[in-house]
Amino acid sequence: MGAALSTGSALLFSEVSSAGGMLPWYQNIPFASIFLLMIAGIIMPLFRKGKRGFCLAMGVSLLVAALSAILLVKLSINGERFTYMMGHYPAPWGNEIAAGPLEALLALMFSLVEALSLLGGRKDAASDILEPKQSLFYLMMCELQAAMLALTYTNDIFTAYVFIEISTLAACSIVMARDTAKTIVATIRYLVISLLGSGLFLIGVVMLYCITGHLLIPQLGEKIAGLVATGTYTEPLTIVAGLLFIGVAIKCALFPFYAWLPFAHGGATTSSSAVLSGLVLKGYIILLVKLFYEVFTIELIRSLKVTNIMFVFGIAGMLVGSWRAIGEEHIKRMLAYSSVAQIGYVFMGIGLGTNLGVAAAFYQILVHAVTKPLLFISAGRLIRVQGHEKSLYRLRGSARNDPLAGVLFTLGALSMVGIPLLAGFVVKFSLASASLLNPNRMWIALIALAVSTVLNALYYVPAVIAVWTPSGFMQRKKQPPDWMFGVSGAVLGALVVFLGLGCIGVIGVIQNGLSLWL
Amino acid sequence: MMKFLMPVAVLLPFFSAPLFALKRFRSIRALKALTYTVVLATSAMVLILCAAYDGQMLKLAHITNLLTIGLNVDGMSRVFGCVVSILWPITTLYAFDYMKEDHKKQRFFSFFVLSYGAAVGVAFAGNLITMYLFYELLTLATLPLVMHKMDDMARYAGKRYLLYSIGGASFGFIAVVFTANYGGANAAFSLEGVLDASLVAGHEQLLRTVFTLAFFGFGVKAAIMPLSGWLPTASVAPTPVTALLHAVAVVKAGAFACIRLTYYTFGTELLKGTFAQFIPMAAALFTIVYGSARALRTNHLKRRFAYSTVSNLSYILLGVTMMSATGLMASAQHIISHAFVKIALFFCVGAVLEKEHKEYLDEIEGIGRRMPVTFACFTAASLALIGMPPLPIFFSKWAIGESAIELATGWGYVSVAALLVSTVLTALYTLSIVTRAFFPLGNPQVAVQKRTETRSMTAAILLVTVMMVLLGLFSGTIHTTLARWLIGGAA
Amino acid sequence: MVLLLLSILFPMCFGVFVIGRRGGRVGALALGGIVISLMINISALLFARGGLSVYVGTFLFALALDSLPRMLMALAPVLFLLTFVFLLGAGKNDAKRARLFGFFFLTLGALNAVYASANLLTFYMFFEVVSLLSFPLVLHDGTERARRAALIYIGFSFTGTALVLGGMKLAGMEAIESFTAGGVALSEPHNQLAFLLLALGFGCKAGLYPLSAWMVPASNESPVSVGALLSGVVAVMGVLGIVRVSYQVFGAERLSGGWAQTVLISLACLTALMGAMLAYREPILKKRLAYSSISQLSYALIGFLTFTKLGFIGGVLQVFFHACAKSGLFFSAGAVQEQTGFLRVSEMKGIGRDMPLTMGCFALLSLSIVGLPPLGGFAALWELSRGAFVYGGALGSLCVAVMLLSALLSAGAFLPVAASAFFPGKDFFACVNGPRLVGWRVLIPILVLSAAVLVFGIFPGVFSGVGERLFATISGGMS
Repeated sequence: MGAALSTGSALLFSEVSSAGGMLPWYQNIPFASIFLLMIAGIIMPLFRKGKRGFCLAMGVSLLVAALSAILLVKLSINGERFTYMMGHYPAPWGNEIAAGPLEALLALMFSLVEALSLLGGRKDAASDILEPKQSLFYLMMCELQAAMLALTYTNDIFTAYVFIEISTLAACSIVMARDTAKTIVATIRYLVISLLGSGLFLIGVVMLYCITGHLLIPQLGEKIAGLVATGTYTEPLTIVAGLLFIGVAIKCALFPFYAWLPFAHGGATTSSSAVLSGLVLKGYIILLVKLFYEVFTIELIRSLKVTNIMFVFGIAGMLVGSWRAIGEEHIKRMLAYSSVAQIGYVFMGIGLGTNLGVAAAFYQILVHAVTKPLLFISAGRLIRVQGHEKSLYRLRGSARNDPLAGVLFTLGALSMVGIPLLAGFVVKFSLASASLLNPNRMWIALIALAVSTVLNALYYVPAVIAVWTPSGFMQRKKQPPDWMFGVSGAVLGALVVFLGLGCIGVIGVIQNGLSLWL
Repeated sequence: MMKFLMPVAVLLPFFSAPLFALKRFRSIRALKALTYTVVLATSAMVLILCAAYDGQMLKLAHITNLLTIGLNVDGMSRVFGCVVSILWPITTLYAFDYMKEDHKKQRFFSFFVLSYGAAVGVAFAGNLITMYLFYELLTLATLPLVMHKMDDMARYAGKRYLLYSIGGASFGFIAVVFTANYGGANAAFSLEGVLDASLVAGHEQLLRTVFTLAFFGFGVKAAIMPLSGWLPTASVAPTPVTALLHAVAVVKAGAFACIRLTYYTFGTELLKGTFAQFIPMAAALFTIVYGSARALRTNHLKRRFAYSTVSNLSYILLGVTMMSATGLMASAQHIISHAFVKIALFFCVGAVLEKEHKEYLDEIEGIGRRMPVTFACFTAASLALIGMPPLPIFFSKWAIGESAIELATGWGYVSVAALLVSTVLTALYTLSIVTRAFFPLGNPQVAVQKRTETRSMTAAILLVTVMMVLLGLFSGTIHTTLARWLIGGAA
Repeated sequence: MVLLLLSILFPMCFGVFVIGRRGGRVGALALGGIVISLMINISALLFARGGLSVYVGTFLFALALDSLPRMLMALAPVLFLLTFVFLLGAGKNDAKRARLFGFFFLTLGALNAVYASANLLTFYMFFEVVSLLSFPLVLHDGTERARRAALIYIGFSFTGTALVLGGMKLAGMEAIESFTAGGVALSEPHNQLAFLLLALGFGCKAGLYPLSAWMVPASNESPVSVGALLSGVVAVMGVLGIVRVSYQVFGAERLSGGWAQTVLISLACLTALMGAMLAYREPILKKRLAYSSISQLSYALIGFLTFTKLGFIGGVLQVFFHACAKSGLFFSAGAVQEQTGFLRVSEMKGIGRDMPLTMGCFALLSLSIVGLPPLGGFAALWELSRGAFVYGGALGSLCVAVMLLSALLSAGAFLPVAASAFFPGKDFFACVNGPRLVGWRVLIPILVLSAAVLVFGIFPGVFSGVGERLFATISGGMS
C-alpha cells in the first residue's frame, strides 16, 4: 500500500517524455485509471450508506472503462506501445507502466465487467452484506480492480508483487463480505493458499533480483538474455521460472491447485463470484504471460519445458473441472468448477507453444470474463426468485418466474457448450486451429477439446433444463423485476454474442498486441 | 429475391417456438391453428425453394476470418428438404391425435416446431460450419422432446441422447476446424470437395484420420455401431417424436451430415481406396447385420423398429462409403424411401401403443381385427421394408447393391451379402408381427370386434402409406430427378 | 393379354371375396370359383397372345405366356380343384375355412402370375408374392407349432429370395429383363456364380439341400391340403425357376460343363438320397411324405440340370407324376387322419380292412413313387436315367445310382405301410368299428389321381411329347 501511495504521490500528468516534447494526453490514462480507482477506494469509508458506495464504485469503473476504450482505440490506430515513467525517476531505478493495445483491451475488459458485475449483483450485495460494511465492500472492489489494472500495466516486477498482495487481500475480503460460517472458512483457506502462492512468487522475484540486480522488466529481459547467451545460471533461471509459474498457478486455480476455488467462489455473494471467476483469476495469468514474454522470452520458456507443464496441467484442469461439475448440485459451486475447467483452456492454449495458441488463450480470457459473470448474475437472480434455494433440484422452474434470467443463463450455458454464433465456440475453434500448428500436441489438444465439450454439455444442459422445468418449488409470490440485473445481463449477453460473431477485430487486436510484446 | 426466403424458412419456426411458451392457449383449436400455420408455411417455403432456387449461397455472418455462416440450396438440400417438408405436416396431423390426452401439449409442440427449424437449417446449410451449427441446435431442440414424459426412463434416455450426440458432434467439430484451416470452410459445399489441394498435399493421412473420426462423430446421429446405443433407448419418447425425429429427421440428418462430409467437403478423390473408406464401410456393414439381428430378438415393438432404423441407416451409410456417383444417388434414394416406410411403420406401432396401450409383441394377438386399416398399412410398409418390388426400398437397395458391385473388390460382394442377410432378417422381424396381428393362435372369434382406430391417426397412416407406394411406382421419376439434382444430368 | 390378366386377377379378387365370407356355402362358392379359374386358365393357355410390360424406373416388369409354363397352367388349377373337393369332404367346417379357401385362391392367382412372368425380375417378384400368400396357409391351424413352422417357411423363402436377388444383381440388368432362348453372356466367373446363386435360391423352394429344412415342418403342421399343395405346386414353382434360369437366362449350352452345374447336380443327388433316407426312418406319416417330396423333387432337378433332352423329358414327367402321386398320398393320409385321428405310420396297421379304397390307392401311388412300371413314376425314372447317362461321366452314373438307391429306400418307406395296412399280422386285434365311411368327396380326388398315374404311366407319350417340344423351343436346338 505504501509503495503504491509513494509512486502515486508523484506528479500527475507528467510532461516529460523520453522522446522530448509533449506527452500525448492519452498516455496518462493507465496511471490515471489506477489512481482514480485507488482514490475512490480511499474515500469509500466516508459513505455510511452502501448505496452511495455502490454508485461511486460503479461510476469510477465506468469512467475507467471509457478511458480504457479511448486508449484502446488510440493505440490500435497507431499500433504503438509506450512506457510511462512514474514520477521523474528514469529507468532502471524508477517505476514504469507499459501499455499497448492488448493491455488497453484487457483493462477495458476488467473495468467494464467489474462495473456490470457490481450492477447485476447489487440486490444480492445489498441483502447479503451488513449495511455498515457495504461501503467497505465496494472499497475492496475498487482496490481489487486497481490491482488488476496494475498487474496488467506494470513494467516492474516488484510492483507486480505488491499489487498481487493487494489483490489477494481484497479478494479475500470480498469473499468474506458475506458473513456466514462457510464463507469465513472458505476465505481462510483461500487466504492461506493464496499467500502460499504469493510467497513462492516473491521468492522468485527475490532470486531474480539477486541474479540480475534489476526490477524493471525491460532491464530484466536484457540481463537474462545475456545470461542465457553465456549459459550461466541455467538452473536458477529454471527454478525462478518454475516458482513464478507455480505461484501464479496456485492463485489462479490451475490443476492441481483448485480445491479452494469452488467454496470460495461458490459461497460468495453474486458480484464477488462474478468478479473472482471472471477477473481475478485472469489478472495473474496476464502477468505471468507478460513476464514470460518480456523477461524470459517465450522461446526460453518453451525450451525450459514450462509450456509443457502448462499444457498437461491445463488439459487436466479442463477435464477434472468439468468432471467435478457434473455431480454438483449447488449451482454456484457448479459454475465455480466450470471456471476451473475454463482456466484449464487458457493454460492449454499457452501450453501449445505457438503464438497463435497464446492469442487463443487470451481470447478465452476475454470470453470467460464476459460469460462467467453473466452466468453468475443470472444464477444469482434465479436463486433470488426461487426463495434463495441454491440446489439445482430446488431451482427447477425458477426461470419461469424470471424468464429474462432464464434466457440469459441459457445463453451463457450454450456459449460454454460451444454452440456456434456464441463466444465459446470461437474460443474452441481458435484453440483447435492453433493446435494444428503443433503436430505433437495436436491430437491430444483436439481430443481434450472434444471430451471437454461433452463434459460441459453434461452439466450445463441439465442445468438449463432444470431451471425451465416447472416444479413445486416455484414461488407463488413474484419478485419485483430487477432492472439493474436486466441491464447488466443484457449487456453481458450482447457481448457474448458479439464475441461470437464479429470478433475478427478483437482477435486482430490481441495478435497485434502480442506481437508488440515480442 | 428468393435468396432471402431461405433464412425466413429457417427462422420462422425458431421465432414461432417461443410463442407457444408465452401464450397460454385456451383451446386446443388455437394451438392447432398456430402449429399448422407455422408448419405448413415453412413446408411451403421449403418446397418452393427446392423447386426454384438456383444455388447461390447467402452469407449471413462471419465468425473469425476462416468461418462464414451461409445458407444455400443444392441438390442434396433438395433431397433432405423435400423429405422433411412433406413429412412434418403429416406428423403434425398424427401428433395432435396422439397427444390428445397429454397435458403438456404446448411445450411439446413448441419444441416440435423448433426442431423443424433446425432440420430445415441442416438441409439448407451452405457449408460445414453452418451445418454444424444447425446440427447442434437440432440436438438441443429435440432433447426436450425425447425427455417429454419426464419420468426416469425419459430422463435417462435424454441424458444418453445428449451424451452421444454432443460427443459425436464434437468429433465433427474437429473436421470443421481442419476444413477451415485447410482451405475452405467459407466455400459452399461442392461435389469435388472443398479443401485446397495445395494445402492438403503432404497431409493426406492426417486428413483421412480426421475424416474417419468425423464420420463416426456425425455417424452417431446416424446410429452407426458402436455408437448407436442412444437410439433404442430414445424410443421411450412419444411416438410422433420417435417416428419423425428418430426415423426421419434426426437420424437422416446424421446420414446427411456424413454425405456432406464425404462428398461435399473432403471429396471422394482424397478418400477413395484408403482406410478412410474401409473403416466406415466395415462399421456400416456390421451395423446392417447387427441391427437387423437385434431387431429380431427384441420383443418391444418400438425398440424393434428402432433397431431396424439402426440397420437401415447403415444402408445409407454403406452407399456413402462407396464414394461414387452411383453410391451417392443410391444413398439419397434410400433416404427418401426409408423415411416414408419407417414413418408409416412407427405410426402404426404408435397407434397400437396409444389406443390399445400395448407395447410388446406377445400382447398384440389378433389386433388386426380391431385396427384393420392400420395393420393393412403396416403389412404394406413391412413388405416395403423387406424390399419387395415394386415398393420403394427394393429400388434403393438394388441401387446400393449396384454401387457395391461397381467397387469390384471383395468388399463389394461382402456388402451385397450383408444386404441380403439383412433382408431375410427384416422379413422375419416384420412378418412375425403381421402374423400375430392377423392370425392369432387358436380359433378367432367370430363376433365382430370393436374398432379402436381413430380418424386423424389413421388418415395420417394411410397418407404416408399411399405416398410410399407411389414412391415405389414412380421410382423411375425419382431416379432421374435425383440424377439431375445431384450429378447434374444423366445418371 | 386380357386372358392372362384375368387368370391372375380373377382368383385374387375371388380370394379376397371369399376370405370375408362367413357361414355355410363357402365350400360351394369355392368350388364354383375354382371351376371358373380352371376354365380361364385353359383358355389362357390355348388362346393367350401378347403381353403386358411396365417400366418402373429402369426396371421392366412384363407378363406374357411362352410355351414353358403352359402345362403348369393347366395342372395347377386341376390340382386345386381336386384339393377343394377333398376339403369339402374332409376338412373341418369351422370359421377359418373361408380363410383357407381364400388364401388358396390368392395363391393360385399369384402362381398364374409367376407362370405368366416374362422376365426374371417379374418372376422374382411374383415368386415372393406366392411365398407371402401361401404363408397364411401354413399358419392355418393356429397352433404355436404351426406359427413356428410358418415362420421357418417364410424365413427360408426369403433366404432363397435373397440368394436369387444376389444372383440377379450379379447377372445384371440385361439378364433380368427378358427370357430369351440362348440367354445372356457374362464374364466368368460371374456367369457360374450368378447361376449358382439363382439356382440355389429357387432351389430352396424345390427342397434343394441345404435349404430344404422348411418343407417338413410346413407340411406337417399345416392341413394336408396345404401339404399337398406345397409339394405339388409351390415346390414346382422353384423347379420352374431353375429351368427358366438355366435355359432362358444363361443358356444351357453356356452352362453345360461348368462347375456350377456340377455343384448343383451333386447337391441334388445328395438331397435325393438324404430325403429318401429320412423318409425311411420317419415315424410320422405326413413328415414321411414331406421327406419323400424333397427326394422326389430332386429327381426332377437332376433331370433338368443335366441339360440334355432326355433329362428334360424325364424332369417334365417326374414333375407331373410326382405332383399327382404326392397329392394323392397326402389326401390319403388326410383321410386316415380324419377318420381315425392317427398320425403315425405305426398306427396304420390293419387300416386297410376299414378303408380299402383309400389304402388301395395309397399303395398304387406309393408304387409310382418307387418307380415301378407301368406306373408313371417308372416312365419318369427311365427317362431321367437315360438323361443322366447322356450327361455322362462319373457324376452321371452316380446320379443313376442315387436314384435307384432312393427308389429302394422309398420302397422301404412306403410299401411296408401299405402292406401292413392290409396284412397286419396275427397279433393285430381287429378294429371294432368296421368299415369306415370315407366320404365320396374325399375318395374322388384320390381315385382321380391314382387313375392319372396309372393311365399316363402306361401311355406317357402325351407328356414326353410335350417335354420334347418344350425342350426344342427353349434350348434352341440342343440335343
